[in-house]
Amino acid sequence: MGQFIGHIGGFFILAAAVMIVGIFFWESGLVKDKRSVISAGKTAAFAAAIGLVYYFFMAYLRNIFGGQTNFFDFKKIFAFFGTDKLLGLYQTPSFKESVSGLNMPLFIYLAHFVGGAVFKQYAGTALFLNFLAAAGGAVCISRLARDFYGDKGKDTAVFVIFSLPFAFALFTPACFGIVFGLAAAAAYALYKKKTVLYAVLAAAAILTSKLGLLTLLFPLIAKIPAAADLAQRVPKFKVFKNPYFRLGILLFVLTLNGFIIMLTMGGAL
Amino acid sequence: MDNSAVQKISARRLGSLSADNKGAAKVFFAAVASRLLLFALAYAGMRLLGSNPTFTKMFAEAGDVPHYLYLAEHWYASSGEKANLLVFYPFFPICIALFRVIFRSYILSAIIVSYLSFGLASAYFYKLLKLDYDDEKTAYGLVGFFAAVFGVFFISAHTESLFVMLIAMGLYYIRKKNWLAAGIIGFCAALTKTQGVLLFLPAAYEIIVGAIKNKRFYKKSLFSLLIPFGFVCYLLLNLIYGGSCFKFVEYEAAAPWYNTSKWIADGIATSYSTGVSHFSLSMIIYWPQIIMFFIAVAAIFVGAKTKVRTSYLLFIGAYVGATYFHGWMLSGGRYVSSCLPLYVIYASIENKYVKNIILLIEAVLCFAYAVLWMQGQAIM
Repeated sequence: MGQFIGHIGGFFILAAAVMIVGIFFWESGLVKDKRSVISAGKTAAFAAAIGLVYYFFMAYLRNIFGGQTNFFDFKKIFAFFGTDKLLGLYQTPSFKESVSGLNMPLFIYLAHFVGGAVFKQYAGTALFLNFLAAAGGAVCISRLARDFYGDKGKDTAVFVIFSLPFAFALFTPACFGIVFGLAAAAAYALYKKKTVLYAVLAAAAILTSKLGLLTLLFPLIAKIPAAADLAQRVPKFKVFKNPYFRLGILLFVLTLNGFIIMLTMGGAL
Repeated sequence: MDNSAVQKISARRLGSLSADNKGAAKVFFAAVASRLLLFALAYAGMRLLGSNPTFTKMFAEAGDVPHYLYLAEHWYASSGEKANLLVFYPFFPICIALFRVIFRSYILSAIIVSYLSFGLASAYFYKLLKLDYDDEKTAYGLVGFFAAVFGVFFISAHTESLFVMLIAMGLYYIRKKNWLAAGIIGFCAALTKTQGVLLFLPAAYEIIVGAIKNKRFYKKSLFSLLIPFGFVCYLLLNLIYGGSCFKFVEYEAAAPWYNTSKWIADGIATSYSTGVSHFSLSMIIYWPQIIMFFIAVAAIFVGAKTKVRTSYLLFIGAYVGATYFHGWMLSGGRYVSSCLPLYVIYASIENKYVKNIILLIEAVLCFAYAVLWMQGQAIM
């Protein structure tokens, strides 16, 4: 109970910090449109809420498969596909170790320094950074979706991405959330023709995980004329307008996702 | 505009300025009177309950007071059992030592510093409120501050009064863009309490927002760097007397404080679990500090809705965050009570019923905790 109250308190103060940053942006005039700040805040909150649902589902499954576990014992909850090894690296980083597998040093050292100096808790810090980055990535995706499909499409895009199989990994202390956030920001920067910013974000994504190399494909994708055309056409496909079809896809994806999470927490994956 | 019109406007401004100063002077006396009244009521309450501690026991032996008095008399030590007093900031002991030249008693000087500081804090708080609010809201803000839940620490020889005075003055000069005054005041605040250095945040916020909006940076605003410099001086003090800039962290972690930095969630969780196992202490230490944390954080959101200045909200957020960044905290309620901009949020609330209910709860708790403190209970 104490842990629960504590984490709620920590969450609220971080939410207050995010709100103050938002107010700063429109008060200083850096962002002219107040509504866009509020909209970004709502998307980030929506992303964080999805993350929390995943988190509690994973913690619940860990209790079923791994014996009684405290819902906030991050180390125990996330002891799967190499996350436990990563958590060890956050505490005692090693450059050699951090370039093996999918890992790269940037996030490991970030989690080490922020976790050690600021939050005094490595697993929790890594989790928080991933939540933050995933929420930031969601904001970028929603911006892209809004430009392509208008206001209706923006939250749908975020929901679709976060419902995909293995999307739960974005909300774990591994580096996937960070890579996703950086990649989404890089894609948005490229879309806005801010090439230098794109390069910086792509470099950061690569230095975080080898998966970040995928960001190098973005300029190529953008060069394909059919890609943008296809993106514009997606909502026009008649089949997508059928609510039963959409509900069916949604149920299938969510079931598949739940099944994958169960396999992961049960140790089969 | 002709000369007579200019003269009329100047005269009106001067009139309003002098009215503000007169108002501030009245508030000063009202604030001191409010402390005397609280003292008298709490003392009467304590006697009715059958306690009769001596003046020395009540004031000179409570909590951290002996440490401040020792520092005022002997200053810091490099070795020996008093070396760990390096955890206390020097500005309050310096003020006590200065007043002692006149009053010849350390404890009396400390209490006088406390009362005068509270009076000045209230006067500056009045001027700060008047910048944004009408008379009624200003009055509510002040009364809310007078009835602070742990307001008993404003009548005792603790740093709280001096600290709130510096915060009120600092915020006022920041708003007035008097950066030199804000820098000097902030420098002193950073040498009074850990949270004092946080005055730099509202200053930086106002400077950055002003610079972006006006597309101009005022060099005088660099005086605000005096605020973090105050903390640097405290670190130097640690280096001189402890051999390391962060010696105070080492001392804080050891007995009798056992204070280590921990993420807010862990600190609150520790408070909760200790509260559950120590019922009597939970009512005066643990529950109040957990509840006041949530009230302070909720107040930030309320403040955003009632359009309280963002620099104040930033200060509250940083203050509450820094305060609850403890592994084992005992004085959370006292610290939150000293977070002055919280009373600005209280003043900004439109609904009078809500305000009156809050005020009533505050006043009852303020009286109760004052009585308990005088009895020598663990109000820390």
